[in-house]
Amino acid sequence: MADGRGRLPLHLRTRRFVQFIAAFGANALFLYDLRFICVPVLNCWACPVASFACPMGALQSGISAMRGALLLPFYVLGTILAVSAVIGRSMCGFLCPFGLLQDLLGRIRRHTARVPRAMGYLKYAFLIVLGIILPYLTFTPWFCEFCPQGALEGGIFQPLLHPDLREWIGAWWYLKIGILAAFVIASIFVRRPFCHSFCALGALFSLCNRVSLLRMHYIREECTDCMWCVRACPAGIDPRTDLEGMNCIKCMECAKCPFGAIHVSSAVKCSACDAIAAKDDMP
Amino acid sequence: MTAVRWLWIPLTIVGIAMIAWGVRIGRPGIIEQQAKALCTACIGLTVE
Repeated sequence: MADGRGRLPLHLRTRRFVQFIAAFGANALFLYDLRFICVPVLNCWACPVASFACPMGALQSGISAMRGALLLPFYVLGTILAVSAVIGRSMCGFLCPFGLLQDLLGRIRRHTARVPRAMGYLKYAFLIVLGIILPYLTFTPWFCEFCPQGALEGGIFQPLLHPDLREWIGAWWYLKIGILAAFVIASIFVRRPFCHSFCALGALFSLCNRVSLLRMHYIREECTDCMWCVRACPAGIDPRTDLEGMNCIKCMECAKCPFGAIHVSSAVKCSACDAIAAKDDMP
Repeated sequence: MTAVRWLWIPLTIVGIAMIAWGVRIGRPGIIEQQAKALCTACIGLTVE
């Protein structure tokens, strides 16, 4: 994958930098106020410096409003659909601030465990129950009630900055902080536990992961089963079997494969695949 | 599968159309109001 100077392509070298820029950019209210736009990452709009709206919060409030107006929350769903149709779940891999936090915590220990694949279905249950059904029935954003990103960005900083809010701190606040603490600790030992099994927004993005314009290809003929990609994957999946699956965040770390067995390409054309097919066709 | 290869195009078009419709009916303004209001559910506050 390296170029003539032995360097990886730009998109494979800059992910961490992009993550930090995105985390800052989503929380730069002192620079710009774009809270009429739902940035398609999990960034709580209760954060004192959030400069965009949270899509999960907006989605749930739109679903609650459906009972009166019988309207789908087109704006939020359209944003999620348009973005995921183009880049799949890459938002999770490159731009999500909570994903960045989990990635950084995962580097504390040299070896981290992987969440069982089947637990990835749990995020769909959270999406349907907490993100859709309960908000529709009760007019309350139940996913936000449990969201650890809300606890981190809003639950900690809002009472710090506004002492008058502290009188309303009760058992539920402690529960949210406890959930946040559990995910922080879990992220030290397990790769991206929240993204893998609990994130409703990631569940929505994953629906287009296999059909998006941005694609990744695993070329079995080039693979030596060295397991480099398995160790490198921040989401804890096996790219040889689960590439572009529901738990793949398309972070492209596996595309740094030393044997060139995994490539980033598009749905329209995969140059690496074509080159291998041409090589196979040669007499 | 050729159809799957191009599926991203109608999905993107539908997504953009949904955004455009949402803008037309004023959803960005409503979302902005909600974003500026304090989300007690997000913070975990119990407001009696």
